[in-house]
Amino acid sequence: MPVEFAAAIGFLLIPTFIFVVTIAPVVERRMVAGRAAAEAARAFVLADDVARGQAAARSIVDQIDADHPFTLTLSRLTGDLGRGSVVTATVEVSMPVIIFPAVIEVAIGDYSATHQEVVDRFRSVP
Amino acid sequence: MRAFAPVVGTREGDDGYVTVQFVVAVAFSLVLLVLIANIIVVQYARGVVRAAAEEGAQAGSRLSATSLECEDRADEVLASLLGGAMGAGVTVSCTVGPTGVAATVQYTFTPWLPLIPAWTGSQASFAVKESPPS
Repeated sequence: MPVEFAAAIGFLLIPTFIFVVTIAPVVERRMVAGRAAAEAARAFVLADDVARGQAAARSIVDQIDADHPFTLTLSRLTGDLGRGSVVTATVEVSMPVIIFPAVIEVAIGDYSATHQEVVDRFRSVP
Repeated sequence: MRAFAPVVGTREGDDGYVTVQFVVAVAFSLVLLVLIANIIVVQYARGVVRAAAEEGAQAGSRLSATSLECEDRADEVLASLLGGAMGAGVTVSCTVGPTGVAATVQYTFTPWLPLIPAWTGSQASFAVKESPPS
């Protein structure tokens, strides 16, 4: 009986524990990447010109990145500030398959979050 | 006529074999299950804390919004999704600047098991502040 219990702990409980510990960071990275993409697009749309918009978008992504232990990258920012234009921002983050915070992390690739924001059709500037 | 040998052997030496090991193994398994359940609940709570920070930052990003509105919105999210004892260990603070908003939610959750340190941390969210045309 003790052997079976030891096997049950080794083959059932510990993998369950690792699974539970891994799920939250995966969900967190997806949500943070989505939030960063949305804020980057919004920062661009609210800017006075394209150059300031790009700088503001990178700045907000860097700010969010600095607050998390993983790396966020603004990989794409397209669009212009013409009225009714669609601005698209894409943020990438590495996605783990197994993670034990501060101990081990095995990544399977990058996850991309994309957000589109429309420039106000009745915008006053530029 | 020859008598058949008994098929089943004696159980001498097996007395009480299961008791101690069984209790220890089951107890350890249950402790681990409680720990897993605690982790799941804390992960939910951290998700709520993150959502509260994001909602607060978004509420504070409007042109006329102040840090009070940011904190009110974050508190509203926390009150609806994280009441009870867990919600009591959460505090919200917002900083509204001319170009950006930062909402920070700090939390301390009491562990369910002894010898485990309290779950402490913070979640911050940032948003671009609207500004009048220059």
